[in-house]
Amino acid sequence: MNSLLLFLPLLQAGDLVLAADRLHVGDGRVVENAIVEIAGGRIARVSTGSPPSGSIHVSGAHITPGLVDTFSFMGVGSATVEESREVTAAQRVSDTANLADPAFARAVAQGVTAAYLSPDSLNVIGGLGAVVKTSGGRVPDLFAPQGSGARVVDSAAALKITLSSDSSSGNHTGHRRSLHGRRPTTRMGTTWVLRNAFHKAAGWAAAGRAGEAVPAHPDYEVLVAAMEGRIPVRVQARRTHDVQTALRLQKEFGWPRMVVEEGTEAYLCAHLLAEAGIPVASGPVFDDITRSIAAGPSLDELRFMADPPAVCCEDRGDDHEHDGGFIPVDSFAFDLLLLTAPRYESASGFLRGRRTEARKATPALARLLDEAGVVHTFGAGEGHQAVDGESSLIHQARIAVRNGLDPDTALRMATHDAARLLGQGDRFGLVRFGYDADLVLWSGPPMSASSKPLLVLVDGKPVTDIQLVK
Amino acid sequence: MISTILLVIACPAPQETPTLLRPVAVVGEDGALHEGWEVVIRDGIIQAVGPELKTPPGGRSVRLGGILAPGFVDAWSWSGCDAAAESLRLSPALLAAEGVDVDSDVWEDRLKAGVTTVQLLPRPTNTLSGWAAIAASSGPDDGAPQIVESRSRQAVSLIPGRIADDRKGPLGLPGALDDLAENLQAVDGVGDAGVLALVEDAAGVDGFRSVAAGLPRAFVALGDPGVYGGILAGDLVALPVPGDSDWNPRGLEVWRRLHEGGAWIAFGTGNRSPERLRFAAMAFSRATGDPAAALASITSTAAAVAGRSDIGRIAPGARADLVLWTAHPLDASARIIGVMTGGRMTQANR
Repeated sequence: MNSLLLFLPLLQAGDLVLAADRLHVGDGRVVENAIVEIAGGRIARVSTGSPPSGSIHVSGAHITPGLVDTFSFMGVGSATVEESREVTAAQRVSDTANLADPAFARAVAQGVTAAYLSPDSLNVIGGLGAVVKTSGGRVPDLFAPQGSGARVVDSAAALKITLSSDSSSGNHTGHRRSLHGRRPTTRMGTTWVLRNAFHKAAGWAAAGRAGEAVPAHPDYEVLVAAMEGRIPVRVQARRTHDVQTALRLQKEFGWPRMVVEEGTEAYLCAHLLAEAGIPVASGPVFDDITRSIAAGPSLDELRFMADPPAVCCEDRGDDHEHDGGFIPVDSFAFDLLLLTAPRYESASGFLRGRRTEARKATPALARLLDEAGVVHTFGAGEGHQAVDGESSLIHQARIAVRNGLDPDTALRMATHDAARLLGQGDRFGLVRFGYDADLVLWSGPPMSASSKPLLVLVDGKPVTDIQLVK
Repeated sequence: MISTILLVIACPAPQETPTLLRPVAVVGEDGALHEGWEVVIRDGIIQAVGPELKTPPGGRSVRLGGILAPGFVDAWSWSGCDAAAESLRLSPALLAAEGVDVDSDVWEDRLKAGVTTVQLLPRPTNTLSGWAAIAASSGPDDGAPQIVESRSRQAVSLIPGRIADDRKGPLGLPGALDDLAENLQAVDGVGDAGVLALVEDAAGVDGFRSVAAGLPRAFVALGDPGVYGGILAGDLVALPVPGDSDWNPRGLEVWRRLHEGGAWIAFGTGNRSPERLRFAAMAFSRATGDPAAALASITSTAAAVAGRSDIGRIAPGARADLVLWTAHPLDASARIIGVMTGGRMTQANR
């Protein structure tokens, strides 16, 4: 490993040969003693045999395609949808994302070579998400190494629609001093705004086809493209009834390409998704936010724990009806809890929504969907914002494996399935001739908790501006 | 001796009389001193520059005991001007020229600092903020500041922290770019005057470039240009002069890399003191080793940021905005002897 570290800086963007004891193709197959030749940023040849001289070979190492994060907020931040309108279909996250965000370098260090950047969920129709490579972009930073930063591959990869509570959270009626005095304020309102927008767009398109003079309308153009299947629709739906609403709306507007985003409770209606052939791009099951979903109560719940209403406790007694409920704690413990627990009351609508809509989150989501025949891919959400890498995409996959998913299936979900979901299945996500040379050399089996990337290539270029080995 | 000369040049010369100025040396467009060069001015405009010029017919000749340099140009400033329309989401018709405060002390400070011209900006609270104006620090009307141009550039603000408004929107960059895409190209006169965009990140630069395609443009680079300046090559870039606590090695290195990367650098004071313009140029000269670009950063390049090529230069056809110094103006020991705006003596350093 140290020898690799020594010659990492010497690696150039030219032709390379990697040799690995085990090659994971990306479609579930594994090849022993594989040799991968790279030329011009693409995979030029895949063969088997002894490591040729001059090749990069680390004993016991595994090669996989670069991981593909299908639900990410890297570089996106919270100000990437314009909230003074509920429908901002034509806005592109690629126009305003910070492609030099350190999160991209952290993602590369964890083996992620491509990602779908999602617009934030604050609008009913939030705009167009982008597919990026996590390295090889232009360098606006005068002090950053050449080639660092993300590179946009597709700036209109999917249209974001939010059915969860995020798009109505924080809105209110009554006074006009704030633009949040607006629709929608409920789920019903969200669906109404959505229907309204698509009906108007359909009418606009029909008028145009009938030869009427219609003014240019960037939002309607995007909505029509979604109805015609030229742009996939990604519907953020966490709870079961939101997923069902998405399926109803799909039938109503004929979105030929729909993806359910996050799908926290999708396993509860997996048969419906399987029947309709709708894939799920899940969010993180364990990050800074969902970690607290699993472990942390809200302030109200903390208060309730400290001082539960008498009727509750009398009722509860020793019966098992409330086993999943609240545990009374004394006031001292309550003080400690207040000191240590995160405060959701101050969180933005997005974070609040995640929290309240994730009560039925399960780390077995990937396995349950896979068993039901639903295509599923992983997303790290804000996971790569964290410095420690412990919420990275590979960890999402490893959690799924720990909860019963087959490791090869998990890797397929994180590479080939993910690339296909993003419409890039013929370009990356597989170790195959002609594909982009997005590769990761792992120190051991990729789903093993002790494995880490030794070398990451994006478009055939070793990413040397990150601390892979320390 | 200096006082004698001051008496001579301080006498207001009839504007129609051509005058041959014979200083010790002239600071040329290359930033260097040219001993023996002379300058002919008439009607407030420079007619000729060079060695051994003749006194024009009917004109007069004046010896000047100092170094003649172009007056400094402040590429962007809010001082002495208060123009904003915060109740509107967009205010493209707003004129900074109408917000000029002629009684402000800053005009006197500008003259004392050798700043003869300033581009005044409307406040950056609206994405389309309004028209910037070019003002001479002193004019024929009893020495009061004079508007030279009331529509120099349409000022565009892509500073999310300044434009975000939760009453009327936009809330950030995406909404601001939407507004520009719909409205910028339709602003009357913007095709000729061009746009001055206040930016603080790469997304703002890229977004602005796409919505302002085909329009003359310049940037005011706020925030940390070190993290986004790599995409400013070939552009006119006005930087803020550093404040007292802003001087650091990284900041100077950012200037050097921007310059090396091909950006045309100018300086503006924003709300800071006019005398900082010269300090910034002196530091820029040390950081880049390019005194010509340094002097241009507060003269001709700064004027280019305002869309003008006839200001900030000692060249035929340029406005006779001149400052007489005891030494090269980027020499730390240099002091001002006299200031001329539009061919008219306005102030001697008392």
